[in-house]
Amino acid sequence: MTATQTLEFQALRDYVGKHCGLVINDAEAGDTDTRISQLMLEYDCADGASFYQLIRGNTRPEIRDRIIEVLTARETCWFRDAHPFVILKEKILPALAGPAHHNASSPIRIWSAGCSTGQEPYSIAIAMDEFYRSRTDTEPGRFEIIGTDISPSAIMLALAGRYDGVAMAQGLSEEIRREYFTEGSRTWEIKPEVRSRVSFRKHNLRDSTAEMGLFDIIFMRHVVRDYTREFREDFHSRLMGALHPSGYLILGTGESPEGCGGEMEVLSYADGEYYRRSN
Amino acid sequence: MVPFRDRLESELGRVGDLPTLPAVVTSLERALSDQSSDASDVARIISQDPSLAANILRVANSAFYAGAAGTITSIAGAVARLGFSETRSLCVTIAVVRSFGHIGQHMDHRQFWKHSIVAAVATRVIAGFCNMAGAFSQDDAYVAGLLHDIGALVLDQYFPDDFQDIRAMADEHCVPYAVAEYEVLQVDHGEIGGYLLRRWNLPESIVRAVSYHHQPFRAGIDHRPLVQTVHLADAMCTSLGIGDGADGVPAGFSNGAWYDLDLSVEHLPDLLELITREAGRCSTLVSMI
Repeated sequence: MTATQTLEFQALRDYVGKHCGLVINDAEAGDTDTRISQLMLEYDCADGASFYQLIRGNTRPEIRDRIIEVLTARETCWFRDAHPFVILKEKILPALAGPAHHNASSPIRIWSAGCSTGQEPYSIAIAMDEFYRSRTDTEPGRFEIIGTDISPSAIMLALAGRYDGVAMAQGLSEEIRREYFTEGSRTWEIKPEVRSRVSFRKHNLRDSTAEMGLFDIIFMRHVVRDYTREFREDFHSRLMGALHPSGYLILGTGESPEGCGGEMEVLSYADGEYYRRSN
Repeated sequence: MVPFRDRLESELGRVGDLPTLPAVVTSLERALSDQSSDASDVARIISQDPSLAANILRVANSAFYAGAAGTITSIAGAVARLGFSETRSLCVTIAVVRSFGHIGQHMDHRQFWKHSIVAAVATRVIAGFCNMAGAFSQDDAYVAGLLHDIGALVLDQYFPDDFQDIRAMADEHCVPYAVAEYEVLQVDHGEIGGYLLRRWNLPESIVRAVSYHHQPFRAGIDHRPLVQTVHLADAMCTSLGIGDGADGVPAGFSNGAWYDLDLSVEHLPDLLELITREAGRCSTLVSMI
């Protein structure tokens, strides 16, 4: 890369970050430049200036989503960090599954934001199935899980629900693998009864959550860490609008609901924290 | 070490029995592109190839096409029932599968062709769904989808040691075959297939669609619509586990395809269901392999 190109990329990186609300660390600069170069090739932009024009113009309105999607590709695995699923089964569901639920006749609604290829929402569905099976005093409840991601490709893989050996090696016990998956030649397929519990849609965290309705539980884990503090605060405060009064929020390890003021009560269990919206 | 691209050219250039596009396909292409051709002209060409004729009759009489209608015994009747476009697709499929029947030592042929045939139908389905009629024809979509993985058979037959290394690496690291091919050879089966199709003098749009179906952004913007359609069809069939093509594990698609084809995620379940249904429709054809 020539000195001019290096400067051009630096300017482009700064602009892209600001435009999309992303923080790009110096350590990630090389990797970011490679991903931006790939997008430039895809959009037939010969240099940084033409890509800059493309971002500023309105001929390709999806460009912001594309940038976020290539720069925030995340690792995912089954039952990530373990404790959120223990909290779900042992604290949140017992509280929500009974008559104390805001409307006992309506389903428990859960949003898994930034769900990538579906491991988190399917882990939630499995945890809920385990909860209802373990309770002889609770009727199998109705619940609805919505997984969202910015990448259509990730959503297609999530919908298909077939996973390779590497994906299956991360976070699944042999028992769960046997119970909830069907083994194929080189892949494992999630069983239809689990898959049917989850629906997926494309969603950019910057967009309104209004059309998705209100949720009882929101999983928002390791999703906003690449964004600026300003964006995270704005996003968390908007998240309140998508949560039922007394609804629960589960964040990633080390994350906190910045921007929510005193609206969220911090609770601890099983070596992890979770949050409940204060009435 | 000699780059694989050079080896590909020199070794395949020496191979005398490299499969050619069956003559019957060329004759049919000519007849079907002639506005004055009718069902009897097409039937005459098909009848010159008894094995093809028998298979066309069998498909025309299968439950999907025959429905409650009676059994057809003449090729002209079969062509009339199937229509020109479907007749063309079926003839190309049967002739190409026959030409490649002996190619490849390690591939499961039935699974390979099942994936290719369903990908061909899926390419056509997506093209229709996305109103691509102005960009390329449904027939080209079918041929590009059918031949998209043909390079994997070439690799298996003429470069068996490389093929084995690639499969072993893909299995060990659980990566798609195309990724392992790039690691080992610096080309993937798409480009290898494109090399063969160029020798067959197929249209450049089909050659590019096959060559870059794993790297659609390399195709050049003018060729993007067909490349992206094949790319998406292939990814959907692999994700649904239809046949075992040249890809192996589900790998998703380039999100650029999504926007180039102006699709919406809300369409995904319908599209996946449509492709699953079309896969069932191909069962007679697959059973002939």
